[in-house]
Amino acid sequence: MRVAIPVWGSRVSPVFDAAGLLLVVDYAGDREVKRHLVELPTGPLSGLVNTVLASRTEELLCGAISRPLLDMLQGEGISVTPFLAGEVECLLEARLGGRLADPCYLMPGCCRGRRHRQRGRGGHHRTAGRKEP
Amino acid sequence: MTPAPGELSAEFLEEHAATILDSTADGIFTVDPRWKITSFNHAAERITGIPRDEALGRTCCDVFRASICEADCALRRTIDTGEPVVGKAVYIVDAQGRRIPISISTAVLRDEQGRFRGGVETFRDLTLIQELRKELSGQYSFADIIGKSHRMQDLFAVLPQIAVSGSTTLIEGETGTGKELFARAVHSLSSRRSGPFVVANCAALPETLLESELFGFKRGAFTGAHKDKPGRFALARGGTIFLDEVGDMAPALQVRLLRVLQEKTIEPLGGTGVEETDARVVLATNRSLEDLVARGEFREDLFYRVNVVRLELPPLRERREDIPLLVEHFVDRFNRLQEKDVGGISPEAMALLVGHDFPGNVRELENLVERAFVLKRGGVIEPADLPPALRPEEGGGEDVASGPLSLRDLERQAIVAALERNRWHRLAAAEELGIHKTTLFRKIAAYGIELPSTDGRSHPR
Repeated sequence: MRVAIPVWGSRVSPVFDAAGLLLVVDYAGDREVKRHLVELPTGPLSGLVNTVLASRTEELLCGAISRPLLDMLQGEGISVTPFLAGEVECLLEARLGGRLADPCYLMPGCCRGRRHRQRGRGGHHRTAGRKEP
Repeated sequence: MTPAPGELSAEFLEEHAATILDSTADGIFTVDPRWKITSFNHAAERITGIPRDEALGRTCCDVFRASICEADCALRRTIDTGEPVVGKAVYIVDAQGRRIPISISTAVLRDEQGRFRGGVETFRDLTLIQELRKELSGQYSFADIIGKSHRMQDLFAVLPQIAVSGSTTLIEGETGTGKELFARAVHSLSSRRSGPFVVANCAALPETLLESELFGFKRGAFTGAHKDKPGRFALARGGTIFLDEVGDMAPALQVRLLRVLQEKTIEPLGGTGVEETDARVVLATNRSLEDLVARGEFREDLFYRVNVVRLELPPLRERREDIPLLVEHFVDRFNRLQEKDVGGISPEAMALLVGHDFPGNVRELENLVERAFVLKRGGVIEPADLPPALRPEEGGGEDVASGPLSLRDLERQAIVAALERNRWHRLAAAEELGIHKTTLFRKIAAYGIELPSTDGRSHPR
């Protein structure tokens, strides 16, 4: 499993849309086997999405993230756990322990209706003016 | 220090500081030297969507979540340089993932001895201002598609999700509604954006030619097939294939398309095996596929296969509020292309356009603006610059003598006059006009100029 988290010093970047560095961590089961850093581009969101895709990230942990960027990443099949705050190592540890939904790891104002979105492409969108077949 | 008569004491101000801060429309928060939030006013709660009790004591970047927190924190810069930041435009991301445009100002808090005690940041929600600015500058466009109507905005809202889904997409709309533009947007917003975007018009080619165009052929498949030729599906690998006018596809080809969609394989003509294709398929039609299915002209199984995601593009007559925006866009475009300085359109001419039904949709509107540009170098487009059919006082008649003429009208008049002067002798008229006789014959046919039963060939001038 390849997990990525945008980093700012020792903390998770507050806003993924404006993050500069992505820490990519490989796991074999619960054991960390490798980690490396990827520079994130500034500019259009598509550049960020392409960089994350190129890093072959399967799961992304991040801070605040705008809705369009979240939709694009999830549309590419990447599992995203957004609105996390705090020290990167604590978050990675909490992920292994299944504790990421604990309020202490969440940004303020994000406790209600908390989500852990699953991977997967939306195959059947309801669209404006759509008719059912 | 004792306050002067009428002045408020420092104690009073301190006691009522929270009330004062809560009375402003701007968000205000303060931080201590460890960047922890120490106060958070009502407006800050409203703009960020974060309750005060959740904000207090938290690291400011986790609360504020501004685009500049990481790379260029305004407060840190103020502390470092001593210079306040005033009205810097940035955005924050709220808990719903909305980007909220704000302007921020900062100041350092120091105690009486000048020691650093923290900072204060004030911020103003610019959402409304940006909306108004958008309205004024008419920036209602998305991936080259123009529209501020609710129906277009609804389409803009779902387009990114449809694009990233990778699903087969059906675009329905009358001719001239921008189906190919939407197809291109679906491609350019998807992860396939760096791959090819291949267009095939199913109505433009005969069945057998379309089959070889779509699926390709192998050497020796038929007379003249001297070497392998890849089809459009093969060319679209890693990208998107746009099949326009799919409602006109012949039944035999519909079966083959169904197989492509079901099995993701193509079988080139004359080939013995199948080839895989990963091209994303976007289809468009200006006919109702449901009606075609009901009439037995379109396979039902194929209809369900292509009807995964459907976009219905509204005709222009159902989004008339977009007409001024589109006219402005086309005027800008033709000014640039033709290096002219047309200042826009008069209210009277705009009223005529908004009242027109536009059976040809946006393409027809574009042609009308282009037509009006033919004789104009500056000024604004007036009713007289529009075709007679749009001008009520002329009842749609052909009399165009009263107003400026289009290049086409002028050319027609010039040809008729030359023919009349030369007693309908077409070679002589062509020589006078300085064009070849076959060009003249073609223009006579194109303009539907009726020739008299006896002409100048038997009675030369």
